[in-house]
Amino acid sequence: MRSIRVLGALAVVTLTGTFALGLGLPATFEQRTYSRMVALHPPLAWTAYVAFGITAAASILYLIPRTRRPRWDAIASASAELGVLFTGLTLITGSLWGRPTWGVWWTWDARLTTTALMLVIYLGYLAQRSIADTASARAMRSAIIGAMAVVVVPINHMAVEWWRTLHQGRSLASLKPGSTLDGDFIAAMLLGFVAMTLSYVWLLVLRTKVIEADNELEAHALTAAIAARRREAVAQ
Amino acid sequence: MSGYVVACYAVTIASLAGYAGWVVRRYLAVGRRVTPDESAS
Amino acid sequence: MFRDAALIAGKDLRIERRSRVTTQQIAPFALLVLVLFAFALDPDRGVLGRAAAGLYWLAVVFCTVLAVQRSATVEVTDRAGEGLRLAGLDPGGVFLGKAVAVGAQLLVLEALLTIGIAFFYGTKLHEPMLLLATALLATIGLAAAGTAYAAVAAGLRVGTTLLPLLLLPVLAPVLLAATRAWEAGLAGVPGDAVSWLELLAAFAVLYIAVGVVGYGTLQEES
Repeated sequence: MRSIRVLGALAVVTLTGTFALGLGLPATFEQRTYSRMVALHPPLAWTAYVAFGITAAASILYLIPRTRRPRWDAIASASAELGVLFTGLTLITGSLWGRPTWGVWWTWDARLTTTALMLVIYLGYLAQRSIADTASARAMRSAIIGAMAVVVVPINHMAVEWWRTLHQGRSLASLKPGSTLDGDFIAAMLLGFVAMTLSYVWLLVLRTKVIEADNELEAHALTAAIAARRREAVAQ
Repeated sequence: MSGYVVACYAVTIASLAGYAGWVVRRYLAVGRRVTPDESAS
Repeated sequence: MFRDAALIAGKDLRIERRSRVTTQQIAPFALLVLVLFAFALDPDRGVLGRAAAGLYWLAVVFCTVLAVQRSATVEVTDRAGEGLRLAGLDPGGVFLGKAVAVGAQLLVLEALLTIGIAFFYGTKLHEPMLLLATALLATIGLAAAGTAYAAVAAGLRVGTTLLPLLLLPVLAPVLLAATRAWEAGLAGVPGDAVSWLELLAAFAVLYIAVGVVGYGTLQEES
């Protein structure tokens, strides 16, 4: 339990550092102060991909009978939730950057479109998790859907990538921050990567424990209710 | 500083802090709920 | 496996012939969608003609959701699917059979919708072979992915509202690829469609493989 606290403290410290460093970045000629968002947006996007990768891996581990543990289901669920949070923040910060830079909140750039599709896919995953069902059926179903993402996300990505490159020539990717950055920016962004990853791991551990405890309580409550009913029946 | 930058940081900080706060509170509540001998089993 | 597939496909199509859900409910719905698009996009401004390929495939995708939902419901009702499992049918074969039956129904709907866009939107069907090839590949993919996901959502109390959310993002590449291929065909530049046909073929192969391998697990779960 101490290690969790240490992890949390590290996450908070590095995050605070990232915010301070990011907000203190100098204004650049072509980006003005918008370049300050570089400390947040790429690290958020990276963490979102890590989170969904972990969900897929945990789902596959649950599907394989030899490695099937309830814990993989809890991890997959917790990671999907965090992935949705980070993907949502990626899209929001991205559009807050795109509006002053490109002049639009949204553009049908390949990366944006894939990210939006990915968000919807995992919203569906979370939606089916919240359906009342037996724990094992829910875990199995979630594992199947979570593992399917290994097929779904790449093929969606490929389709969207072809669509945008075949039709619009160069994508806007070259306009993204990150192409011409010097020391301060790279430092802030790297710290951002560390901070977001640490925050993700910390929150993943906590959330997994909460989910496991909830599942336990659910099972416990059911057993207790059955026992109570049985006592009632015997007493009559 | 541009309002967009402020909004970007504000949304990120608020969301992460909000989610972390919620999870930590749940985590502490769960710790109280599970008694020591139960968690040992 | 293929013998089981033929059995199941025959069974599903027989159920369909007698219940007439596709012909009496989904087919009129498909035509209705074409008419509704005309209300949404003013026909006088020429948008309908230019968007015909996209509207066509969007209508097909909507019909897919309905068709696979129906196909999965048949197995949940009266626990018929469990009977199939107890009968010792190969799960991969059951999947293939159900996908083939859905695919056959989709092809009928697509033929109807093709007449629909030619009639309502005045679309000239250039390059019919390309259009047909696209439709075949897309249908295989739609039927395979749809059958797999419908099996996941079937039997859940809120499965009917869940399925579109789960399935439509998965079908997005088919909508994209089939629309682009048809646009190329309708515009008379079939060369542009080649890479889209490749994508459709890859999609179909991938989801058939996933379904054949995974369908057994899907059935166990419920």
